[in-house]
Amino acid sequence: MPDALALPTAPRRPGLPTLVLRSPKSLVGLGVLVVVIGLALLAPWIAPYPATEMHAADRFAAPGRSYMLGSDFFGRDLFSRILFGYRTSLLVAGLSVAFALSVGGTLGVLAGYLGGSWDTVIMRLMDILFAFPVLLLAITIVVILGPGTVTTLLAIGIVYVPIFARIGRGPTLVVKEQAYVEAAKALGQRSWRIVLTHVMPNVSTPVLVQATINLATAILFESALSFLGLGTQPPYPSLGLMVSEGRNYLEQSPWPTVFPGMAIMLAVLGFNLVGDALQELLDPRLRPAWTST
Amino acid sequence: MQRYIAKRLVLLAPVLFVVSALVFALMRLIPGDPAQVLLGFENTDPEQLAAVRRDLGLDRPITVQFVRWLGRLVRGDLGTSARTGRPIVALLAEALPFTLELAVYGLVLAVLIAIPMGTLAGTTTSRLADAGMQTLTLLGLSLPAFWVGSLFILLFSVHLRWFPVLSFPALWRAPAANLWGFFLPALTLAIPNAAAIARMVRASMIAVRREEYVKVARAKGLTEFLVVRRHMLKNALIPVVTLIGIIAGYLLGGSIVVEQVFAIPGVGRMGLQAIVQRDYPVLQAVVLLVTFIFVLINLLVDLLYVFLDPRIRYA
Repeated sequence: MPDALALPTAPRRPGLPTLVLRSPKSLVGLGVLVVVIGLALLAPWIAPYPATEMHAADRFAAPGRSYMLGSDFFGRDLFSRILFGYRTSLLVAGLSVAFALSVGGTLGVLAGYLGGSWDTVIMRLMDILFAFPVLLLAITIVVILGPGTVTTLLAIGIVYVPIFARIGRGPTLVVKEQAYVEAAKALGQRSWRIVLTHVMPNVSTPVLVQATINLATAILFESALSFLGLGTQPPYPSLGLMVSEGRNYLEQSPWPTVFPGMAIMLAVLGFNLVGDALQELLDPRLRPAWTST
Repeated sequence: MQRYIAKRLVLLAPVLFVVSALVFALMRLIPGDPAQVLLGFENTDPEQLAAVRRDLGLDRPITVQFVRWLGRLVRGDLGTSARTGRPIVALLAEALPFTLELAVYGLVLAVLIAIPMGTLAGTTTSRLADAGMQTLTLLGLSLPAFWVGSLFILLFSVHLRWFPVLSFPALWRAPAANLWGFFLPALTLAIPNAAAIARMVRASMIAVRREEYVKVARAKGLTEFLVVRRHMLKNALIPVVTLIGIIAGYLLGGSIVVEQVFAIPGVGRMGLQAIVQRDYPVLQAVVLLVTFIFVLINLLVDLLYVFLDPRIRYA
């Protein structure tokens, strides 16, 4: 009679992917992201013109048949430039967050798990980074390393490191005290294994949510640095740089300023929607007032 | 409480020291010779270069340079601009009021927009109203400030001519014209921060909604308006105050972009110009000043938080 021995089990909680697909907010966000990432990936095939190709006869063309979103001062196709601009934005945002997540997350988990002077040294270092306003620190790093796409990526990555260190440390401190970690230690498991099998799975969810939110801010960050002339350098397309170039000719044609900005907003909104939905799904306290009536 | 404040104040000195040391070190990492910048790139006479290096103390060991620099810093001497030769303290004194006004104005607008919006979103029983507010706040968080500012200029200054372009008279000379001229930059700066604060107010209102004292207040027969105003908002605003403080610090950084868009001669624009002109003493002073203010604001926020929430005070 195997059934008699079976313990009553709680109904299985739906996993995060199921929850994400049930939330309208995250579905809209994911939809936006699929479009944005798809456009970026397919840019070389779907862009009507090369991003830096100039058409002197078609300066400031209005949106229409030849140029879907119009053209800029040099007669370059805005749609094509936005597609390639997305590549830069998403690449910089993705890699900088990946950098911050791996370096910061690891430092945070190590600080939390090892404790003692390791914890003190790592977290004080993070506090020092936190003492600087992020944009100012990023600008300083760019000035030291010289402007460019790779530098932007590193600068954003570095300023985000302490955020992920804090996010990684918190859950580690809690997990470290759990009975199953004690048991693993008693069984003689090595520290790195305990961290990998017991600590990491508990840290990964908050880190993932933070990463989604930071992807949104990283895109804004990259575009702001490019706007200030410290990010991607001309003639390569970057959305922030496009707004900055378009601004000089706002009265002749608003499109070179309007569309790249809209493109930035769309990508950021996509990540913000998903990040917001994830936060709500994981924290029942954030459930809105209308759900309890 | 007093011990906590004393402890935090004592810790401030080492923090400021480490920040200063780091800023000094970072500035030394910038490629290029400050003496060459001062002399001009066309002048390559090695003797003149050596003389300038001697004058600037660049021939001394880095530790000696740091101690001298720190000594001058403590006396309030930030050196002179490599470009104009003017004392940097005087340059900062001209630029800082613009930045501070922009930040304060931006913060006030952000709070004025955010608190009613967040309160409404957190207390409404209409799913549509909540969704509307949430969409607005997420949009606000997704807008690039430099783009919004540019469109504001195009629409309100160039087309409609409601606001002046590039006109920032001093506050004490022409208060009304000043507040009018600063309105668009301050609003640009306020939008993402208003969105962040409104989200926090909403989340915080939702959290306090289930508290016993709210139920008691309702059971007493208080009107919904009084329940929200007297009982919910007061408690919900504790975490919001911290966020507002954090944002106050970030506004200083964010104003770099807004100052550039609206050509406001503040500290951020001064820093950017220093980068273009390779005027590193000025850049160093700007980074140091903004970071010092940032550290001080963070300290104030921590103290305010303890003051507002007795649970932390007695823990």
